[in-house]
Amino acid sequence: VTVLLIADDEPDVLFVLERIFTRAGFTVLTATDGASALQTVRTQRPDVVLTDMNMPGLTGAELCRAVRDDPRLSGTPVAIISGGLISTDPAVTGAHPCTVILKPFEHEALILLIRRLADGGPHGHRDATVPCLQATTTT
Amino acid sequence: MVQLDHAVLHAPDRVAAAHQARRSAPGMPVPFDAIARMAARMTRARSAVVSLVCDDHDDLLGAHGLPAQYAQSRQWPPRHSLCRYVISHGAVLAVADVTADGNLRSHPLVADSAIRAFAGVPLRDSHGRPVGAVTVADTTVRTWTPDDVTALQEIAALLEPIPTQVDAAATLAVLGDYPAPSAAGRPAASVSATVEADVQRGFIAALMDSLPIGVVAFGADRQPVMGNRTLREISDQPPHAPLEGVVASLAARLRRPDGTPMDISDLPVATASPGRTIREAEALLYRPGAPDRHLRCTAAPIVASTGELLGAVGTVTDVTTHRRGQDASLAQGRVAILLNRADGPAAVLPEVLQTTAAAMRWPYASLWLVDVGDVLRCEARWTASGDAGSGPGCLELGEGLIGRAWQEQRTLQSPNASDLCSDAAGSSHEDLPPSGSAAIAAPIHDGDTVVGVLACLVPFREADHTGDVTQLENTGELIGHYIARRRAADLGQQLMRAKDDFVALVGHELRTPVTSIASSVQMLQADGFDDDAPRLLDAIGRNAHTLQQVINDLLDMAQLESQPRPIRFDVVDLAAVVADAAQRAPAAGGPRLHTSLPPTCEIDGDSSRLTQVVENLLSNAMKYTPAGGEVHLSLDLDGDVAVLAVADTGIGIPPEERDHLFRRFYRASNARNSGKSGTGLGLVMIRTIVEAHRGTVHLDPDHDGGTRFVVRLPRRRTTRRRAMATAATA
Repeated sequence: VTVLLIADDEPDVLFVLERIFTRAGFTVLTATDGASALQTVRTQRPDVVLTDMNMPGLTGAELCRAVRDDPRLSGTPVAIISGGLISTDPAVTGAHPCTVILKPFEHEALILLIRRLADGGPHGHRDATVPCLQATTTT
Repeated sequence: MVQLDHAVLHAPDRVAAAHQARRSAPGMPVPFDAIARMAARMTRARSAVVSLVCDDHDDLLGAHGLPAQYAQSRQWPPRHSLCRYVISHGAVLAVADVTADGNLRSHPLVADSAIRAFAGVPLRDSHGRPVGAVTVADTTVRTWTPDDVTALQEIAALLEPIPTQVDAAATLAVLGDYPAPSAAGRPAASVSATVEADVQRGFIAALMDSLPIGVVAFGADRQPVMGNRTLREISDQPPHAPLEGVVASLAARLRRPDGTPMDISDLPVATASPGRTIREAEALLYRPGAPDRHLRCTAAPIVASTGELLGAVGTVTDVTTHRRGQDASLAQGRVAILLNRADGPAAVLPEVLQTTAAAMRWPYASLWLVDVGDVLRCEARWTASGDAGSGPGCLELGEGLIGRAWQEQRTLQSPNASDLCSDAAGSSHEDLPPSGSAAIAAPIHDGDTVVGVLACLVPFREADHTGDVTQLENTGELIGHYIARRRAADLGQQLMRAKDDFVALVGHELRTPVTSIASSVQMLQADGFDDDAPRLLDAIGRNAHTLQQVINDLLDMAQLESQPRPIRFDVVDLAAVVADAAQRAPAAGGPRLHTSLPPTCEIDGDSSRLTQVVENLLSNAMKYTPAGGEVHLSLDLDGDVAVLAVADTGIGIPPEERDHLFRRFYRASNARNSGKSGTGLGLVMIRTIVEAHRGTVHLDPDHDGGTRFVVRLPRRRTTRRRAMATAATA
């Protein structure tokens, strides 16, 4: 069973995401801010992390960077959900997430994406110019 | 015995009249030679002359039957004159035998020309002054009959009065009937040539005086011999001032263009010599108590056909107005370039002021712009002495000439420099240059609105300041255009930023509620109404409400900015408004709220808009301050200003983002990431409302740990001066 950590400070969004993925067969962990999410990653070692961008304490990008900077966790697939209009925000790309998902999102597409990240498993993120999701799907 | 009466002959009045007659008589429509012939025929005399008797010679206007040696010249020396006896006698004089008269026996004419008898009648001008005579002569002794005497009197009556005023029109009218003076083929000494020369003389005198340029002629000895009316005007002398005095006064006050004195021998006209013509020499004429004149001079030598230098003639043109106009338009061009190149609110205005004032030789100039709170704030000050000068930083509506130019929206002048900043009550004094200057203040317009005032002092308060007024107004217009352009650029920039911020707002503050709604709806559609349905519907309702709030804020903002008068002024108790808002703030769960308010604080304002300001500030403070923190709300009086302060111990605002705070749709990064919703419109709305009340709102930069906003609102809409006047009458 794939363990998924969902981090979002919006309780309404968090509730919906938790229910979608639980119903899709994931084991779902939740966090309502960046700091506690990072704590959960360290202690629970989820297979995939799905985080909102704008959160108090630690933003989604900062959470992702913290994961990449930790040698024991750095391979963990991370997806960021952003309200921003564009996904190439330097703050986001510099954090090396596997993908950026724009709000609002289609449930089925989101599930498919997370499943693909889970199937790909932990992987390196050194080459920032090539999105790793694409790299994993083409291989 | 016949006598010469020197008292009569040399009476200044008579001599002056005779000299004037020399100029004007040639203009008379009378053929003087024919008159002389008629006089000779009627008295059956051998010869006759019509002459003017000046102090040192006689001028022959007309002659008949003269011996050849006398016909050579039209000017006779006094010793040849018989007319002088006629004038001395004062009435018809008839001498039958000159050899019988002890005085006349030795007269040169008697000896030289065998004249034995003569008779004459004086010619008088309109004032009765004898200026000349008609005289007939014979070579034999004869008795003059009463018929002869009557004939002479009738001829005199025909000619009288001899005009002694220069009548240019009459001269020109006659001139039309005469051949051009340059017509060739005439004997030099012929009667008509002489008449022609006289006509020319009268014509030239009239022409000279009507010329708009000054003309002066010098003899070979470099002494002035002629100067016209305009020359006297240029040198500030009366029209009939003696020429020597005029030239001396000019010479004493002339300066070279660099300001160094000029000697009379440096005068262009004096330096003209054979072969040397001077064109367009520049000079300054210093005038005590009045602006200098700029003169442009030319000079050309008068050279005889033999090559001998006879003198020089020069012209003097007053080009002051032209030169000032040139300086003014040059300065204006430079100002236009300065303002065109300025691309920001840089320090271009002081340079503009200096450029204009220096070119116009104003001893002082200042530039004022209308500022928040209905005051004129001094943007730049310039003095000729180079120091920046000092004075009030602010002026109110109607205060001094500057404040009145703002109030009345038109250019104002005062002969007193001290009127510039202070009125009769005189509360503030500009540090001004020495007196003797007049003051001018011109409003600066941006469309129909006065956005500032440009003021200057001009030297010589009695002089004509039309040029200065025009320059001040033109420069003011350039500055007005610059301000309008800068405002448009600011607006453009604001619009651009607003677009960026709006994009961010849509991203952060609209997408999140839309995501919640869309996800909940998708789930309800997919799974039907199960146990989680109420929770999902709640989420949809909450997020729809958030969206509605954003829309309401946007519409309210649009209304505030589009309505011409969004504020309905009334007397409002601001203390009560603040207290009500504090009471409505959520009591439990959030930070603790402390208030410090006076019992009442009445101000002119819109109570619902002011409530919006207080609520917005308070809800921001409460929203971004965690439980356990503190929010302080205070209202104080600072003179005529109500000061509202809201301080919190919340998350604060990153220093580098404080400049953007009042931008539309802008939310500080830590607020965006706070999980609190917001439209980024609250502070913009606060500022718009506060400024419509002529107040200010700012972030206290010295406040540590959290945020402190300070709103300053004037308690009265009227200015202090008017408020004071109202208080006095009350």
